Amino acid sequence: MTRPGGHRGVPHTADLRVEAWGPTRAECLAQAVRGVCESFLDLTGAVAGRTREVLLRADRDEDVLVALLEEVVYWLDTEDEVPVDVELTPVAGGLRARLRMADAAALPVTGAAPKAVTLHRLAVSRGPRGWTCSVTIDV
Amino acid sequence: MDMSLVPEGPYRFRMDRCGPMRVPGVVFATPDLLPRSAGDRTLEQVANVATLPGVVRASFAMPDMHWGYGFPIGGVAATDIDAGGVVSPGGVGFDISCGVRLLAAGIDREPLAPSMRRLMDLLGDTVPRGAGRGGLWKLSGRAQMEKLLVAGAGYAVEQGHGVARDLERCEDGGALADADPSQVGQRAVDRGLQQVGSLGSGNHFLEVQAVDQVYDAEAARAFGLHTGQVCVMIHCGSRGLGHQVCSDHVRVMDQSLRAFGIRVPDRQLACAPAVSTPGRAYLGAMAAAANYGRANRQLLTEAARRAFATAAQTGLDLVYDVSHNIAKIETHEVDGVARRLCVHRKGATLALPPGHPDLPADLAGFGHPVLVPGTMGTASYVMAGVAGNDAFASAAHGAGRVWSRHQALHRVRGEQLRDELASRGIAVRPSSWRGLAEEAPDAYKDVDLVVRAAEGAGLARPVARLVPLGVVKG
Repeated sequence: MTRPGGHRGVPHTADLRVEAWGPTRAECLAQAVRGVCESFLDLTGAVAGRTREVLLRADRDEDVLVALLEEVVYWLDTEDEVPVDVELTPVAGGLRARLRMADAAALPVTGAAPKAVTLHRLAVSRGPRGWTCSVTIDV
Repeated sequence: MDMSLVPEGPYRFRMDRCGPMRVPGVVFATPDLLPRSAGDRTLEQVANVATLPGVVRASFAMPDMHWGYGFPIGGVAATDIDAGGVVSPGGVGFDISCGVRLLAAGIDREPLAPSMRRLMDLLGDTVPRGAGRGGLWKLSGRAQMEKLLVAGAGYAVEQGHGVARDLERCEDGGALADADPSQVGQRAVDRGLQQVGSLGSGNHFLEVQAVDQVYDAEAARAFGLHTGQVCVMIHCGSRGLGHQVCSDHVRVMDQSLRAFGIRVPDRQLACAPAVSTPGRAYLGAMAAAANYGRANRQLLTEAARRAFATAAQTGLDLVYDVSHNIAKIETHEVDGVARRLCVHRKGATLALPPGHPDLPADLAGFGHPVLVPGTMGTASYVMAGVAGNDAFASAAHGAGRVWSRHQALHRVRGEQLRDELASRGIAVRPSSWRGLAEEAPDAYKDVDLVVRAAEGAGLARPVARLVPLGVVKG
């Protein structure tokens, strides 16, 4: 039986490690985005403004996850925006992501901001209870 | 792989070659400084680095080593570039040219005391930190960015953000040669345009310190330091631009591994021969990002100078600026032969011995300055390079974490830490309580022990110890 989507932070000496899970790959990856964003901002009360749509092309699920989280880092650094809602649709060779963005500067800071997505112990897998992924984020 | 350590002296352990390791591991530490927490993979990473094509002598770990990704933090490895030696972005880290800059104020601790609160308020208000945009210098576009990527701190000084003497006290004169801005992607430029002159977050800081103890008066004088003197230490790097350069080139190298017949035990160790097309592209982009990091610290220096001029009517002279996340092509003797090596220092500082031709003339007799920031509650050190350092003239870069950020948050509350530090006369201007707790002094190794081990292992010698007076946290 699959379990509902969720995420948690896992200890890593210097950085941030996030594990996420969900009944589908899309839900699992969206939970990873949520886990990363909640590690440094209090999203309670965040109001979504503009929507950004991006096409994530990668051969491996792990690389789709990296590409998705790199979008989070990019928009945070360049436009002070953070996604509060993620809609992922499979397309040929990857995923289409619709990110509903909120103004990061208006949200309470609760931790160190993500700066890059590492390939260290990166994993995305499907099991009897659904999808799981884990990723280490440089902060 | 068998990662057991064999003591070779009070400050040195050997990890014998086994499996795919091409060279042994060498760990500079006392038993107390070795990684101990369950699940820690620092030593596994020392062994992984020893598998890189072309690696020579050993995979080294400094006394402040801790778990990173790809390389351990505090890892040093050199590859012979004329014998297939690789360059690995994982051996530099995401924050290219992350480093430390030390400035010496024209005022001592006691006369500054009445102005300290105003000074900290000014620094807290004017030093940009935290996520996103907000640098002190907004660049006009890619054309201006490329000038900065080529000339580094030199471009900042040329544009009025500092004085010529600053460049004499920067590693490489403030700019690494052979920067190639064309290898810096547009996303990296986008991220960097509005972040020049900002601390960022995580373990970055600007700290007001005082010289607590001098161990070598002559060297300290040459560095511009005396007991009781106020200093400013800045720890930061190349912000989003450097991180994007690393991400972009790791992706390319990850995809080219098979073409070069290279297998790595961790994807974050993706690499390519230093003389190959992807190797040269990375080295050109890395040098450009390193120069961004140096310009970034130059702009923060300007902000600190303004605050000191306003609050204390005094100036700040640059003691030195070092990069501790970098790869450089250097010539070292290996097995009696001078070889061109790509020396990766990830969380390690260049520590040239006295008399080395790359030292500024007025420091030539004392060795390369090695800046070792500790924690906001303990101390930091100025050290100097010594002769006989077999880790390719490298030394420690800080205290080194022992707690994960999770552990720190479970054990420490930011507000309580602020009060504790205040009761000891250390003023803190954090960007968030959680961020402050994550950087609690107890989350790090004892910097006094790290410095003793670095000295005992023959990596560098202490020149001065500095204690914190006020901290602006990223």
